Amino acid sequence: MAQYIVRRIILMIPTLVGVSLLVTALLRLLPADAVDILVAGGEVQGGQAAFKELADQRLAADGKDPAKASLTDRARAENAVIDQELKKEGIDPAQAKDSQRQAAKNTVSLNAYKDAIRQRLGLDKNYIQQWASWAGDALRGDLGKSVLGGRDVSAELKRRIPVSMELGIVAMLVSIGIAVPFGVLSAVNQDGWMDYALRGFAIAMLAIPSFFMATIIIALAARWYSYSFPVRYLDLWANPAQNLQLVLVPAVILGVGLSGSLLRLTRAQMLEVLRQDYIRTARAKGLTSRRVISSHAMRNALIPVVTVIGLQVPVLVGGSLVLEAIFGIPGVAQYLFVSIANRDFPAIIGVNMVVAVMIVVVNLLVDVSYALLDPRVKFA
Amino acid sequence: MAAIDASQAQDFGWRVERPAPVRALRAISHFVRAKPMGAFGALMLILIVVVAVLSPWIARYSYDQVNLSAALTGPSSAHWFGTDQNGRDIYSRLVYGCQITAMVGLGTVVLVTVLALVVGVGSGYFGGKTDFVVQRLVDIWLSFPAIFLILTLVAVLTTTSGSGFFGLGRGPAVGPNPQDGPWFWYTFPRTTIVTLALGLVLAGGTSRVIRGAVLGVRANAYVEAAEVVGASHLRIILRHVLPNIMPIVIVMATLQLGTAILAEATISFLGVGITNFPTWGQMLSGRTRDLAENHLYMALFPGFAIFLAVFGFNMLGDALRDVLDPRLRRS
Repeated sequence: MAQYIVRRIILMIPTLVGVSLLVTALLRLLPADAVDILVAGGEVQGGQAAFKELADQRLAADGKDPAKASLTDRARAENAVIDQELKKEGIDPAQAKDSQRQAAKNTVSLNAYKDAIRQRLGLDKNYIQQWASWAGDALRGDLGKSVLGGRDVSAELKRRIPVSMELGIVAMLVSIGIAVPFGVLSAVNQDGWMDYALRGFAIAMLAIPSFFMATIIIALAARWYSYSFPVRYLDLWANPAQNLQLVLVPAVILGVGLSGSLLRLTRAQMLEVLRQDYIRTARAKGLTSRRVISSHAMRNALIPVVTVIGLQVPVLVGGSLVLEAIFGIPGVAQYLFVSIANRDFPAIIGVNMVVAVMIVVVNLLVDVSYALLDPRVKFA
Repeated sequence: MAAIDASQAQDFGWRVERPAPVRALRAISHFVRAKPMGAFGALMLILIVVVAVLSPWIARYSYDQVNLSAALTGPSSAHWFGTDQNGRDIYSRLVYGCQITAMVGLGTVVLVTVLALVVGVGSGYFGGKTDFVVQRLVDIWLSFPAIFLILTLVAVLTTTSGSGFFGLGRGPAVGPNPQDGPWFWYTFPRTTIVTLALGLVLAGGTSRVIRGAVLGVRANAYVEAAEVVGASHLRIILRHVLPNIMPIVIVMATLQLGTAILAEATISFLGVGITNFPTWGQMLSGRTRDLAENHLYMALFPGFAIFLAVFGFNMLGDALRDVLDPRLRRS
C-alpha cells in the first residue's frame, strides 16, 4: 500500500512537469504580433514608465544617481535618448523638427514598453529558459505578476481559492444529497413509475446547460418575486447571510446539474449489487428490506460512487466557470475568465497550473481511497 | 437441383435473406420500436443537419437584419419566436445557428475520433513502454478541466491582429446569402479555431476508452494467430482490431457530439469563440440575461434548442450502446 502511494506520487512529478511545459507553451503559441495586443490600452502609461526607465539608465551610465538627478540632468538624459533614436532613423538630431522629436520619443517609449512586456513574459529567452525561470519562481510560490495592474497572481489566487471552494463544496453536497437517496430509490423500484421519472430527470440534467438554467432562474425570480441577486460579494465569515444569498443559488444549479450522472451511477451500482448472492442470503435469513438495502447493498454500491465524486472535481471546477461569471462570484474560475478577456497571460497560466495540480492530487486521493474502501482492489 | 423458393425455405426453418433495402428498413423500424428515445436523437441529428444545409431558405430574415422599430416584440406571425433588442428575428438566427452547431459538432467529432483512434490504438496495440509513455502524456492531457483548456486555447488562438492564426477562425465578412454561393464557404472558416480547440481537448478521454478496448481485443487468440501467420501490424490493426472496436468508437462519437455542442454553446455564451455569426449559446449571452425578465422568449428558444440537441444525442448514444455493444451497458 505504502509502496503504491509512493509510486503514484513519483509518477505525479513528470505529469506536473508536462502540465507546466504545456501551460507555458501557450505563450509561444501566440503569433509574433500578439505583444502589440497586450500593449494596447496601456501604451501611454506604460510608455511613459518605460521612457523614464531609459532615462534613468542613461543617468546611471553617466555616473549620476537617477533618484537624485537634477531636472536639467534628467532633461539632458532624455534628450540623449531621443537623439539616439533620431540617428537610428537617419535624421540629424540638430536639425530635427519638434514633431520629429516627439515621434521619435513615442517610438522609443513604445518599443521599450514592448521589450519590458516581452521580458516579463520571458519571451526574450528561449522556451526552455523561459520554462525554467517560470517553474523556479512557481516552486517558490511566485506565479508572476498580472500584465494589467501588476498584481501578484499568487496573492490573487490565494484570495480566490476559498471562494471557489465554498461554491464547490456546497454544490457537491447538493449533488450527493440528490443523487444518492434518489439513485437508491430508483434502483429499488426498478422499472416502476418512480424509476422512470428519476431516470428522466437524470438524463435531462445532463443536457440542460447551466447558463440556461441560471438565466431562467434569475429572470423568473425578478419577474415573480421582484427579487434581484446581490451584486456585491461579501466574505462568508464577514456576512454569512448575504454571502449565502449569493452563493446558494449557483451552488444548487451546479449541484443539480452534476447530480444527473451521479444518480445514474448510483442506480446502476445498486442494481448490480442487488443481484448478488449475499443480498439473497440476507433476505433469506429474514432481514427487513430496509436493513438489507441500507447495510448490505448500499455500503457496497457506494464504493465506486465515492470515487466518481472525486472524479467530478474537474467537472465541478469547469462548471463553476459559467456560474461564477453569471453571478459575479470572485472565484478562481472568474479570475481565469477575466484574465482571458484581458489576454492576461501570467494569470491564465497561473490559474491553469493551480487547477491542474489540484486535479492531479485529487485523482491520487481518489485512487488511494478506492483501494482503502474496497479490499478487493489489488495494486498494480 | 432446383432452387428452393422462400416458402419452402421457411418450411425447413431456414433464414431467408431479404433484399438489402428491405433489411435496412426492417432494422430501422426495429430500432425505432425498441429505442424510441434513441430514434428521437437520430431525428434531431438529421433535423439539425437538414436545417443547417437549407438554412438560407428556411430562415425568414437575414441573420443580422436589424429592425429597431420591431425590437423586443414577442412571438407573432411576423416573427415566430419574437425579436431581440436589435429587432433581429430570433427564429431566423436560430436557423442560421444550426450551421455552427452542425459544423462544430460534426467537425469536432471527426477530429476527436481520428485523434483518439491514432493515440488509443497506437498506445493499446503496441503496449509496453510505448503504452506507458503515451498514457503519461494522456494523464497530462486530462489534468485540466476541459472547459478551461478550451477557453484558453480559443483565446490564445484568436489573440491576433491582421491575418489570424494561420488564417484560421476568420472567414469572409459577407454571406451567407443564397446568392453569395454555398453557405459553408462562409461559415466553415469561422468555426475552425473552435473546432480545433474542442477536438484537441476532448480527444484525451476518448483515447483512453479506445485504448482499453484495444487492450481487450489484443488479448484474443485470433490476434495472436494473425501474428503467428506473419500478418503485418497494419493488417492486424485494420482487419482485426479496428472492426472489433468499431461499436465503442461509434458510441463514443455520438456521445461526444452532445458534449461538443454543449461546450461550444458554453464558450459562445461566455463571449469567446465565434462572434461574427449567430450561435445558440451566444443568443443567451450579453443583455439577454437582463432582458429575459420581461422577454423570457429570448432565452427560452435558444436554450431549448441546445437542450433538445444535447438531450437527443445523449439518448442516441445510449441507445446505440445498448444495440451495438451490450457489454458496455453498465459503464
